[in-house]
Amino acid sequence: MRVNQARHHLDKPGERGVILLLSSLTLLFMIPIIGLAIDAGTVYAVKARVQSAADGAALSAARSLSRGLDLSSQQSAATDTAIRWFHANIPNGWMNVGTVSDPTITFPSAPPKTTIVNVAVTLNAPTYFMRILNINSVTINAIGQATRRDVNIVMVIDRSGSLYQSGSCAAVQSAASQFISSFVNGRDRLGMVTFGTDYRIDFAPAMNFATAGPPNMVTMIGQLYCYGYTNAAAAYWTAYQQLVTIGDQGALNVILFFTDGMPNTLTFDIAPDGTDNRLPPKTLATPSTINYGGYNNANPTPCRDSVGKTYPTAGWNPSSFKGVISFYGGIYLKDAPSFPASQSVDAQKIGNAQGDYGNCVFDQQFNNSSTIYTGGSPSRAIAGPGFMPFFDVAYLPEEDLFRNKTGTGYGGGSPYAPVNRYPGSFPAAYRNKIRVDDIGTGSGTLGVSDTITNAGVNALDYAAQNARDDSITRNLNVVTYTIGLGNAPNGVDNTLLERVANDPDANNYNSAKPSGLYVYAPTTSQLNQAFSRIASDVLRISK
Amino acid sequence: MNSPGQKTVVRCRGERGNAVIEFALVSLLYVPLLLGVVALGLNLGRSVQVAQVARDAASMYVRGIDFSQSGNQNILVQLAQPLGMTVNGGTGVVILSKITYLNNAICSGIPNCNVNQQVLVQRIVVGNSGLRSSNFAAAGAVTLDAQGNVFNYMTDSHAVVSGLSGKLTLNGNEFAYVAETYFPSADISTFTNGTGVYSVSIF
Repeated sequence: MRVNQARHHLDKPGERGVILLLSSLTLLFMIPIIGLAIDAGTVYAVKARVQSAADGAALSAARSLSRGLDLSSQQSAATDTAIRWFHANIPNGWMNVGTVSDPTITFPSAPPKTTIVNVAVTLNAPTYFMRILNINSVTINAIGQATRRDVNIVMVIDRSGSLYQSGSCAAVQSAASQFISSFVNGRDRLGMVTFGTDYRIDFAPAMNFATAGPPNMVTMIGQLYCYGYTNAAAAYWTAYQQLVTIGDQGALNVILFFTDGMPNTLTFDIAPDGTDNRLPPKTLATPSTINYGGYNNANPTPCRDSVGKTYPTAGWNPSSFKGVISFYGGIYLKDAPSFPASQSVDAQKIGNAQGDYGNCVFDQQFNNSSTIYTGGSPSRAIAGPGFMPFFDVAYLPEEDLFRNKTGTGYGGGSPYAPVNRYPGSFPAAYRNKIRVDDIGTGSGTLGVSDTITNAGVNALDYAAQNARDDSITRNLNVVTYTIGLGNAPNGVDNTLLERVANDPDANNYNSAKPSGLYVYAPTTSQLNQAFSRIASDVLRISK
Repeated sequence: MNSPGQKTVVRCRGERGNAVIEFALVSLLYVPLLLGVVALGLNLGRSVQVAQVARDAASMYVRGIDFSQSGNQNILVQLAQPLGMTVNGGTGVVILSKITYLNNAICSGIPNCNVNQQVLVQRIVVGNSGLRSSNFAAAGAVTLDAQGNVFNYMTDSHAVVSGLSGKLTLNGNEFAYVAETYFPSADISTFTNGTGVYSVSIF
């Protein structure tokens, strides 16, 4: 009954057509409401894009702060970059926004060791329906801000003879120069340690790396002369010590390590903490199952110079050697007077029997370059010339000058590269010590897989892992990047360089520690690219 | 009880037809309007979502997140979750590109260098790569490593990118990190033209 009454009421003849009327009236309200929704949606979409463009502009500006040598030119370069990036993200006329004006770039005062780039944007988003109410556009404000952490980088650059032989020295100079141009003179600290047979701080990390001196980083890179062997572990650790000395906890601390070969050279001396890690002199002829033409059974020889004049001379202490050792290169004095950088023939610098410097070669030259020495079982061949350490040195100490372990892995256990030790048939003083007369598992190619080279590999591996852990306890969190150039005859050990960098592909990768990156450059034409990739990666994580 | 009700029904029957016609007429206007509003709303919402994915992807990419790793790819998939993208398929694609410019200084001493060109340094595609190709495509087929890095971008003429220079001028040693996102809009296909929503963020 109630239903019928209701219908009766609705269907009065006078109310016919009311739905059409009501609908039209409703439209008057609905269309503005729908319009408002559309306008709001448009404004929201523009706002999202503007914010994104402001973010992109701020981040790109922070990356480009490196251009220019002083603050004002760096800031104007960053401003220019921000404006370009902003317009790339919002072209004129996008979503009918009309002409897009430039954003305002400011550099507000920042906490220590950081730079802040602020990008402020004002843009008018068009309206379509709200024009009825005389609102033709809505003003959108957005702010993008990026903080760039200052960067401390020590480059560890190989200048060994293999780079000279492959004609790569100039390419290394060019790539390293490009690399440093990615960083901010006056804010970032850059330094350089180079290594051949010796290792040397060529430029102590400084903020005015491009404007100091000369010498500065640019001039030092220009003077790089490639000669000698590959004393990598000592150079790496020296570079790390530079970062420790700076102790810059708020900044991004980076080591960039470049090499083209195997770390076949080691440095021994009394360690800074007093541990005696000098090379023990050979005191007796060692019996050996490996026989390089009988030479390894020779009696110990006195220290002598290149013309055969024997020492000791004043200051020469025959009970121990402070030396740099290489299976191929023999032994050099560690503390010889340095030549100026312009004369960077490093073998001379560390005392290659130049009488003027009163230094001494401890090794005997193995003979001339045409001789090939064979022997042992299985028979192996070694091409000359060579300087064989086993004439003078009994065995390798377990640690180098910087206490990097030569025959033990980091944290104990087996080292990354195998080392051979003297068996029980040797005199007690030699037993179980690391051999210096062993070409290991290699094919007899000098500088590859012989025990001294493997000890050098282990020392570098140890140095990198030790530095990483030590830097965590010091809150420096050093990130290591490595570049391997593969055009030398014996190539590089990719696995080793991944381990040094803690690259995510490394076989001992630990994601809890600072992750770096290893980039392999097969030839010099990819070298620039490899340095460039690392520069862009460093700049990404410095934000 | 019956007779008043009967009367009402009889009179009502004649006018009920009017209401139906009126409703039909009004519906002709309302239904498309409402559906249009819904479609527009969905598309606007979608375009905001897609732009947000592009912005987030570019923002992470520029900070060094390695999107060649499956864990990081899953982050992208989750960001784009309501849009139905998966790591290797689904209804959406995210294309990440790193582009730089090679000037004379960078090219010095390098034979066959792509001097004064913008080149593709890295390319990573997450999602359904068949949906759309990049607006910043390389000139030819390039070789990528596992992380998406282009081999020999300095010398491989195929690595040259022409699509970006009109939008953005780069200097030497400057890198543009580009995230492109594309999601087809298929919710109410009659009211949308099926071109989908594309967004690009350049960081």
